[in-house]
Amino acid sequence: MRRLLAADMRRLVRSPLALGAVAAMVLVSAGFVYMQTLSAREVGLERVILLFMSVYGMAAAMLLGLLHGGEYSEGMLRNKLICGCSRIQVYLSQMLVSVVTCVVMYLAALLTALLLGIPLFDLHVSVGHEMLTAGIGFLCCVYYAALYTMIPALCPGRAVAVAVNMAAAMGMLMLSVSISEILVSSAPGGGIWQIVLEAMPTGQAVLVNEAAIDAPMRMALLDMCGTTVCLCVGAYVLGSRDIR
Amino acid sequence: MPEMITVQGLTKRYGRGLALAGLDMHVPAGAIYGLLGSNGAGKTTLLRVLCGLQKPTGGTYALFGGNGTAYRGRMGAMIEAPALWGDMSAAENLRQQLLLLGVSDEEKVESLLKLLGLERAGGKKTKYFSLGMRQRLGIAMALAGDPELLLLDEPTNGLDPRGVIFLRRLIQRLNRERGMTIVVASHNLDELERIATHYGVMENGRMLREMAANEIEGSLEDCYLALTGGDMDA
Repeated sequence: MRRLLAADMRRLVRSPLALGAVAAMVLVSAGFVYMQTLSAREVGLERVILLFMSVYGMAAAMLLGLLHGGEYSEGMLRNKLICGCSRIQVYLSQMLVSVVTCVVMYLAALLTALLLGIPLFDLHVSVGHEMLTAGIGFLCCVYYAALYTMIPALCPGRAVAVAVNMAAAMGMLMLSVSISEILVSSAPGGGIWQIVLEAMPTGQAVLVNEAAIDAPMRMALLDMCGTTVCLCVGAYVLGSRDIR
Repeated sequence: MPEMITVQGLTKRYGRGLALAGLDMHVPAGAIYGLLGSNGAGKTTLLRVLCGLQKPTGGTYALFGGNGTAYRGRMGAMIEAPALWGDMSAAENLRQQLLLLGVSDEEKVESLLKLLGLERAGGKKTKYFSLGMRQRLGIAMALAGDPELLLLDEPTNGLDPRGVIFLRRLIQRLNRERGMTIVVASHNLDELERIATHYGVMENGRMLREMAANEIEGSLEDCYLALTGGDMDA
């Protein structure tokens, strides 16, 4: 497992895709901060530093689809299995690579927003509250990592993995925005809609983006459950599929 | 003679289709085993199962005389197209492969490149390689772990005549100097006849016959036609 992880991490740090994605998130985060400086409305720092979460899911979907989808279609997975790695080891290593990638993207974007935002905006909530929000954002990234590692395991190759990842990201985002509007309109069944929203990583991203974390423990629990389900499903699928 | 690969009653079903239909195979240790068969005979499926890439529907197989999966790290394989990281050079691909095998040895990278005639590949990324260069690097990757068993699926695909001669001599040298057991699945009867010590002839997912090279009376071509039937007179 150690050498498999070493090989995958080495590959990751040399991957122009991964480096490009981190750079893109830094630019996106900086861009969002800049746009808020142009806004006529007075906004607090808490609304600025996590704005990047609105596009984070799409970036993670594309990057992980490309990274892991290629393994299935271009034969790298064959190399690992022939070298003696078990399928569960391969999947766990993929998962860890995804988590590292997503966390690095998240931290890079967050640090950029903090560095640019602190001199320009005031914090209207407590530091503790903001740290809690950022912590939920962190767990949401891990959930994204698990989801977008699972989907390529279900797909035949890179192109399909990217397409399905992106479709899932966009679909969930649209659903999350719709549910968010239902909640704002105080329609009946709000409690259930709130839970549905929090059960999706894009829903959590919307709430983090809006700095509207009402039940952090529940969200953290849903993150962990979602991550665990994706991990188990993905490992099962990889364990049983035929590798070409 | 001890057996490196023992297969009994191996079956592999894809949906309603049967790719392997109760296949038996016995590869002696130290042999160069030529696996012959027409398109769709099941050669690649068999090699995929032996590599652990696909699970059989039925039957058993054993490698190195033991459990089918316990000795996976002692084998190398190139199944269909070589699996290469396109945005890395040949040397980087080999370093990555060696890291997977738990080896960190720059001299080994150089020696593998030299063994397969790729020392001049330089920093060129493999996505710009010709088919022949990709094939050579694929074989180098398969040899990276100093395997005792090597499985090659159509290794001469895309190689020019010099490349074919080079590969033939390399296979013979690995077998002679390292005692490596090598299974070569190929359509090329002439090439196999030059190197193989044993043959297995497959058709429709079954092994029609296995034989040592010295048991063949006449040419391999005549033997193959006799086994598989069909009048080939033009």
